Amino acid sequence: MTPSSNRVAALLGLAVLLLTGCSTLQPVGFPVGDKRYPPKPPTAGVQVFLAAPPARKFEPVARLNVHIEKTFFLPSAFAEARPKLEDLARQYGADAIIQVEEKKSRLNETFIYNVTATAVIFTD
Amino acid sequence: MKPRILTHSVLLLLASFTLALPVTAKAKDQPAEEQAAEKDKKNTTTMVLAAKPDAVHAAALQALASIGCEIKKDAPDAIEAKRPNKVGLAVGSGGEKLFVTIKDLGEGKTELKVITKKTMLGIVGQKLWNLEVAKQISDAVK
Repeated sequence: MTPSSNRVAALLGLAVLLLTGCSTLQPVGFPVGDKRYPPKPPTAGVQVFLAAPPARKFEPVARLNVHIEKTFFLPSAFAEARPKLEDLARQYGADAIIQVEEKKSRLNETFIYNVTATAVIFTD
Repeated sequence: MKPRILTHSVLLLLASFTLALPVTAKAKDQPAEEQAAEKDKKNTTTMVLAAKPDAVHAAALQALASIGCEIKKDAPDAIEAKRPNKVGLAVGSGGEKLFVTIKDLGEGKTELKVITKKTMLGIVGQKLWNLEVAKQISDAVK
């Protein structure tokens, strides 16, 4: 290795270290009610109702929360949180996600993105 | 020419962080005891809620999750949590510790106390979360 390639490798290493330590993604679920349902397989589909609740009858099974923070002025969006929300919903055996609420804020160079939702199971 | 532009950009960025720092000049004129009391008030929020302790506890866990806290200790009457540290360009963020205490007052009432403690590592990028967390808990149990 030449001295210049050593320098590039060191810089790349530093960049990787900084970027991995500059963001957090925290998915958390909280069960609702006393009933527990078996988790769904990772490939099971989860419907996401962003605008209005579904027309079908449903029962809430969990409150979901995904929190993302990134420094270096990097913003986050729902597309990033959606797979984690769906994973959480599957863990609670849910068919769909409703009542999606996003919150965005900033703390100095850190962009904070928080999304909450309700995981539901269809009962009809 | 390019390195000069880069240097100016970095200086401008650092200057913007400096401006974002809280102003503490007012505190210099106050006696030490008053300063301590004011600091205690700022990092502590206490309220009495018309809800049962278990409902307040459940709401507290959700409120802490919504600000990116990791739960370190969880008991029916006390929760300890911490926001993870994040490396940043200048100041980063996280590292704050939050302490929630829940006291049953009887007759369906509960006293809630939320305390934020800043830690040495990354203190410039930290903020007080107690008021925001207490408000979220209060709204959730209404």
